[in-house]
Amino acid sequence: MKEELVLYEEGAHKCIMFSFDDEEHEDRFLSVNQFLIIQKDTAMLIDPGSQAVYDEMYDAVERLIGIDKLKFIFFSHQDPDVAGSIAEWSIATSAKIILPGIWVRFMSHYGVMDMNRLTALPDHGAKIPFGENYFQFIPAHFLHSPGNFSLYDSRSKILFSGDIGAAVLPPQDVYKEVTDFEAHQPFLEGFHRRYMAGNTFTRKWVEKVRAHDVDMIVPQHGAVFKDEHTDAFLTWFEELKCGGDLIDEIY
Amino acid sequence: MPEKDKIKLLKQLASPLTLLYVEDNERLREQGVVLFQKFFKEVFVAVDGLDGLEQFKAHRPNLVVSDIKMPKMSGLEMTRRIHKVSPDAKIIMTSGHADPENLLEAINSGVFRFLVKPLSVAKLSTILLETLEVVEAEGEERLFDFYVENIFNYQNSMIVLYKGNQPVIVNDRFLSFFDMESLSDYQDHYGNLGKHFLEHKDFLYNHELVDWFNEARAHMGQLYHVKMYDTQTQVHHFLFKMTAIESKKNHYIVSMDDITELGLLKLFDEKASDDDQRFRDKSNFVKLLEALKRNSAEIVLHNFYKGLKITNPGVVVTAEDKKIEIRSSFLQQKAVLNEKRTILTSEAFPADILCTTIKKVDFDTQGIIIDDLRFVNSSPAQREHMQLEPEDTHKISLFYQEHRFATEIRIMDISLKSVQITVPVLPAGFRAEDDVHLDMVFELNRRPLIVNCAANVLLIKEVGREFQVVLSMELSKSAQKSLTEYLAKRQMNLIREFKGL
Repeated sequence: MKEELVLYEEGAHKCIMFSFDDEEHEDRFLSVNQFLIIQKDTAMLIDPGSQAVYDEMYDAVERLIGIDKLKFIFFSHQDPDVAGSIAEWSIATSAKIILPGIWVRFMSHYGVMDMNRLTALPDHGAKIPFGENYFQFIPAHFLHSPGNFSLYDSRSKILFSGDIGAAVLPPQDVYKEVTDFEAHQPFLEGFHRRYMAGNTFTRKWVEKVRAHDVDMIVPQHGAVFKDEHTDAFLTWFEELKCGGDLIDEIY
Repeated sequence: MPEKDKIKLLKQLASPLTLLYVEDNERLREQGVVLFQKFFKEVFVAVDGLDGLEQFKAHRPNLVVSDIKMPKMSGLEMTRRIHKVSPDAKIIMTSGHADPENLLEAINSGVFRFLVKPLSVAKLSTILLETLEVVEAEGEERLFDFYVENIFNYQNSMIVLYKGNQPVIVNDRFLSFFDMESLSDYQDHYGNLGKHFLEHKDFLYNHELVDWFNEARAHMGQLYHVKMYDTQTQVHHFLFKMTAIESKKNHYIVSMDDITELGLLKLFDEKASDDDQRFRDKSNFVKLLEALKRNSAEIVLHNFYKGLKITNPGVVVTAEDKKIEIRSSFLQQKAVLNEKRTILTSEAFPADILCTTIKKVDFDTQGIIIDDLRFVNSSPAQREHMQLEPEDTHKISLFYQEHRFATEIRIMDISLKSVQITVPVLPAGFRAEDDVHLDMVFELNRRPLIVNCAANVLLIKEVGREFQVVLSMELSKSAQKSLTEYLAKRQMNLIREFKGL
């Protein structure tokens, strides 16, 4: 599989997806994606992943823009496949590390004790303007992590949705982009029904997302949703019964 | 104002508000409700004065419109009774005819406006608009009073309430500073507050890159320094803060706390020497910390454990000559206790503050009682790179002029940029800017990790019977990777060690 995919490129703005940490099993395939947004001569790294992919990720950033140009590193939540390499990044860069407020104090377990390096996102999110555009951190709490954010980039109109939209694919048919939502749906279902907390949260998140003009949804695992598939996914997710809605299935 | 605009404004002002309509005539009541529902969020109805009073108590509407003559209780009696429970309630009275006696009694009862029937949209919208503008202004005043009393309960502060970028209320201290009678006088005379902010290094003022208002709005709650002339052209130094009012969109409180007497201005220009007598005076630190406490501003505490940086936010809980107490997290308290000192930083300080005496650390109250404070020009809190002490088993060889220097060398600390070593003696002719080569062996997960690199001598210090040498390293890509990996793992081990203390 190609490990590097340009999602958007226009003028000084570029969004790249990496797949450095894919999990391959006999009966299923779970891609683990990392993202880099380059805006002029600065960059934001999104969910750079575990220690196992740190070297590859570091090389990619160095090659594409230069490690000293990294201004922000955003961790959508606290999982090891997202934030496991936070200590390495805090040493190797002077970037501002942004993460959900409720996880800040846990980062010492990953090797960061310098709270000054960390920017805690408040529950309702935040906005970082750049030129006429902005990055919006959209609350995605309990989907699945209790402290979790999606990131919307108004320039590329891409929503980096974290675990939302993740798909576990059959290893014989791995694809990077959804071309048939109905055929894709079964690969979404198992993961979302078990990992997401409930319809109250999916509904609220969709409402928040719909306030923005979204062209593409790129999850941290699985395939990208574009154009009409974006809306198909939002509509499906809005109605999804999951987690607490199915309490008797899991207890 | 054209009728169309009036209606539009009325809709805008009334849409978040509720109204109680009291009328005994059923037909009029139904008509009125239909009309009011076009503007207000919710409309409550009552059929007479007594019912009106009860409905008022139950719903606390923002506005009351009532008929005068009604069975059980008249509109005027209801007004008097409502004002007993809610003196600011705005009540508009309607009457079939404007007889002067009624009017006089209405005024005495505290009726806000008097309206002669039949009600028309034009008449109503004018009166409602007037009333709602007063309601809005009173709301702002209450908000202002609340903030002044609860947050900035301090006479030295000038306080301004902004709605968008327009000041709407200021306090007396503000007016007396500029020698003005009212806010409108001030605006006629001076216009924008930002015009007063004088240029000063690291201060908030308007210049090419910064508009003071946008800058402060983008950093709510952050403390800034501003400098202004008073009417006698005396320079005053203020701690400036903008706070967003959560309950009211687009409303901000700006407070400016006069700290001129601390005499800090000079420290921002040229860094004063550590020995500057003025800033050895404890009472000045007490006043500075008191100003922070008053403005509910956070400070940051910095400590180190074998180079591991431990920082957490803290707050000042007591700032008195006899006792300075700050509060911070458990891990920070532990680090302070271990290091027996701490460094305090804040955007409000002209330099970092080093505290060299820790009188008490109380884990129950999260308190840390500190003493012996002074400003320091350079502090380890400013370190950009993690600088860690390696494990005892590390080894280092230094090659100078192509010869291995055969003596006992130890690494004091190492970062991705530099390494600090101690040596009992120096090679002959060894001096700053010389080039050397380093071979270092660290232990990583019980395996050796080797870092070789060229280095340049930055600094040589003689300390006691040994020399301390700082070398800047030129790392190859692979050496940089190895060292990053080592530092990350070493950091993790130090965290474990620190937590186990």
